[in-house]
Amino acid sequence: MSTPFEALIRNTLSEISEEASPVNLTTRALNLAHRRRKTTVVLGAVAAVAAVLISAPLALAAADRGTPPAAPSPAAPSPSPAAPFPSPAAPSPSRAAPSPSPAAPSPSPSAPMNMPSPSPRR
Amino acid sequence: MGVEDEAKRRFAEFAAARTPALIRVAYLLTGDQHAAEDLVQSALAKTYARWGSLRHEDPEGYIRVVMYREQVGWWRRLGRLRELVTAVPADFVMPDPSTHTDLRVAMREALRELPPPQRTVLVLRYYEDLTEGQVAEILGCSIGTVRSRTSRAVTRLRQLMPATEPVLEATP
Repeated sequence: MSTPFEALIRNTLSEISEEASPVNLTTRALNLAHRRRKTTVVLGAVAAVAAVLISAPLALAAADRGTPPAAPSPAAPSPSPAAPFPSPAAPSPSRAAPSPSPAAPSPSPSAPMNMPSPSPRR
Repeated sequence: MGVEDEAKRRFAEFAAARTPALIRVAYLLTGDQHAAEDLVQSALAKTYARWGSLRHEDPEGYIRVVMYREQVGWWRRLGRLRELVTAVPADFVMPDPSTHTDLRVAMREALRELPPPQRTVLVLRYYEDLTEGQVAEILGCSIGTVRSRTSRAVTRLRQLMPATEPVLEATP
């Protein structure tokens, strides 16, 4: 089934493979496996320690920043923005009070406007 | 401790029995004794790391898969550096039509010119005598890929050795 060219490939591959010198690699492979395992464990431990060393100060800083400002910030800023908000809300009644006053003058001029008219009517 | 020692002993037996054959295949894949030893050593170490779950399965199949894929991975990482280093033209090609020694020497050089994925497929198909399906399973690719790589590899060899086939047909 195989062509002469394929047979040549087979023969050449077999011939080349015979040139390899047999070596006992068991000890080397076991040592390499142990080394790789040790490296993995050490790298994992280093990564874990690094993660803790990096994240712990950040977490503490965030907690430090977060807690005191967090208590005042909802309390303090909320009054301060609440102050502007209520102040428009509060002035709005107070403006509502003046608003009648402009409204009052508007009727008042309208009253004088109307007044003269009734007055002439009278 | 006892279980680990037992596992180590079984692994050592397996490695001692299979290393010569694995070295031959690795030598075919890399074309260099030291690179072949590195490849087999790395594959054995990976197999040992999974020995606990493999010893009831097929460690031979696993180590071959590791070896073939690692070789292709090394090639991808290193580019063709190793190929350029090892591809030294032979200066001892002598015409020898009776035993085709000259053709085998030329074929050896031509095989070195192939990129490892193609050479790997040729080793699996023509040295290990595996089917296309088995090769596809080992390399983790489709049968179509195996077919096309084989075809490209053989075509490339024919291009590198244009005068071979007439000689083979004339002197079988």
